[in-house]
Amino acid sequence: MSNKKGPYLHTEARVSRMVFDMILAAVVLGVFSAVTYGPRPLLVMAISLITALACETVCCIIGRRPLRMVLDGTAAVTGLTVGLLMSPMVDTWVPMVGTAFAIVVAKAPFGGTGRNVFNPAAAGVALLTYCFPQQMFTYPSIQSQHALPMELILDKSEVVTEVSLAAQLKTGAIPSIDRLDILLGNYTGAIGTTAFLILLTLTCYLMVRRTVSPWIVIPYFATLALITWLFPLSSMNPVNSFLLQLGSGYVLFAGVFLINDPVTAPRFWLGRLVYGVLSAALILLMQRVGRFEAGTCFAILLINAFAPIIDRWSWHGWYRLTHLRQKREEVLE
Amino acid sequence: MQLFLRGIVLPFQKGKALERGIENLTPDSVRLPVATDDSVFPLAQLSPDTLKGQGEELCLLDGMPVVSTISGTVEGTLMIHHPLYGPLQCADVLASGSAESRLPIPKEEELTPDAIIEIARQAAVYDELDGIPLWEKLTHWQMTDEDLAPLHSVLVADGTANDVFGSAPWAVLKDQPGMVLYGLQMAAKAIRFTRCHIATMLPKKRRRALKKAVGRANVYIVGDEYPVTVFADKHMETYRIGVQACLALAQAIKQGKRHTHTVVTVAGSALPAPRNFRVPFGTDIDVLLSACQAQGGYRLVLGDAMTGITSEYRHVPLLPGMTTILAMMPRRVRTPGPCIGCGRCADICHAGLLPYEIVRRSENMHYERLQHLSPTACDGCGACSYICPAGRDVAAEVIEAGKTKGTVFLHWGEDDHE
Repeated sequence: MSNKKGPYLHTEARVSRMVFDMILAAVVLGVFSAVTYGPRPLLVMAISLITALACETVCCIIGRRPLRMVLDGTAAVTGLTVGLLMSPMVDTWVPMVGTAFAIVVAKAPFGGTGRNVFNPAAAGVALLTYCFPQQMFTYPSIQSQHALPMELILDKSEVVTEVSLAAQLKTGAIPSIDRLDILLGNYTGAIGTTAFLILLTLTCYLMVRRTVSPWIVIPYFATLALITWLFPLSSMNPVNSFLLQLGSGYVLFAGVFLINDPVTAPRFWLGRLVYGVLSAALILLMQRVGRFEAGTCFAILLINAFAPIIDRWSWHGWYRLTHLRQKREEVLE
Repeated sequence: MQLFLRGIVLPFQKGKALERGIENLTPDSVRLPVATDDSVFPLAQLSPDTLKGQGEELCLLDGMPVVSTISGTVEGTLMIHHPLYGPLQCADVLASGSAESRLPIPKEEELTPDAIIEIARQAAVYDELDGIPLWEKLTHWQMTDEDLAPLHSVLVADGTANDVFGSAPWAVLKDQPGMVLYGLQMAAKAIRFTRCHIATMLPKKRRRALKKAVGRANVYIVGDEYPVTVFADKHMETYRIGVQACLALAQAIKQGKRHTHTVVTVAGSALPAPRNFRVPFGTDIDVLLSACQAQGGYRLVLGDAMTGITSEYRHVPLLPGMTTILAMMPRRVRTPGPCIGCGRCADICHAGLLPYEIVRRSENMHYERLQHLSPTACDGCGACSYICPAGRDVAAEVIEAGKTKGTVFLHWGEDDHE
């Protein structure tokens, strides 16, 4: 006699659906970048993706995990995220190093999918930022109409480069860029970070599909707005200041991809709210006083370390608050 | 589209539940639990003579008789491992007729609270929500809530049919709404409550008919979320009994009838259409399933689709506390993946727990941390297992954690004999 308990119904929501959403978002961003720079961004993303899958396969074999776990897609999302944070003219070995570090060092040793403490993509990009800032932060000019050559290692002298918004802000200069140009993504930057309106649209899409949690995203952007309103970039119009801050570095991109990684974010709604607020504050701090023009990944790693404790404390606080009345009654009895 | 997830709404699979009536079915034989020497229940001995002579069988389940109107000869007794009640010694009764002895009908002025509870006990009224005798529930509430009861408490007849397939409460409410209300009022009188109402989630058309039948003030419409947790206005303390228990109490008081029949919904994906049957206690479930032309290869589920229990043994007697029987086609069960931390289980938990954290602690053997997460507050509604995108049976793991609570080592080897 066997009595199996458990619901005989299940929602249609699946992890695969969430992963599909993220991959779709990444592909949309890649295509937008390809429109400007030619197919090279897609090549960078593809190399990153293949490296991620290969590393995950090796890790599964070594860790004696079933090989089907490679196909759950989380490694693909990590690979694509690293690819999206590359400069379109980066040498192709750079995303390979970043992705391999992400999977082999930041994900697999912790136990694979669902157990990593730090966002693998953020860890990979942080390593690259620290070791190869030249590769990471040299961006092709948006003005040149020629598609980037498809060679694996570009001759940098052939490409017209341009200083990114974040680098201009870092030197204390105020970039002379129109509000409309920012919204249309008419500035240079990493592959996935310049499509301003598309990123905002993707955020809404992912929120409606419940792939990302509004409890993180909305506090994140609200805090960014509040901080840029309170401390605008050198006497600028707050709206311009806000848009410029979002467009510089990975700030807007992080709001869609990096901080919303469910594995490394808190899961309780109050914890998520606190996490959103804190990550916005830390990212802006890193962006403004940090050494690199894009310090977002360091901020993400820092806040990831505190995510479990934020989660636990916020739940305990909330549970005690809501169950205070009952407890008092119990004590009275 | 709900942006912030709060509670879940299950798909509506009741079919044409609104028009469905109740069919009467009398089986050829019934199986009723009897007393044995080593019985776990405090049961009374049953002699076959009683059965033949009186035409009425009285035997006890949990200290209370299960009454049947079937009279006949005892073919023999056998041990049944009942999926809900554990091992039970059952008597096979081959029906030869039916007989019924009635209770004396009390006058209106004799109906004191204690008298009502006594009637519920003599008529063997069970609450179909949990299979507990009604008189026990009422006595318990009467004792505990003597001083604060009337003002902030309300007695609710649960007519929500809060599962995917079940429609028995709706059918009962459609059939005899007046009697249900009378039984509810009597039960409320027994525990000295001034407020009581019927809680239901009927669609609009039927709501109006019900309100017309029992009065607008006596109906409370609940939300269609699963599980229903709000049965009355927020500041009210709710006490719940089943609709069928109300009906049985009313019939005992007005007509002197004992609680011998129950209305059960037989449904599921393996059946052409769901049906409601009124059958005596002790009816073999297999009889009901073959009456519904169930095809082979299905899986029998006792209870609703969220919290029910699978049974491979089909000759299970129908006992109080069972209102839904499902024959489900086996569905493809995916291999559960690792928790990716989407947090949906915490979003929809009506008890406000952190199911993922409880599961993680128990997987990592941090048993000493478990009690801070109050896993015992889980009532096993199964909503977290329903919503989990990784396909994990979260509810089962939380219940397990609540049971062991850090003493898991003491329970090792306990299940070995199964």
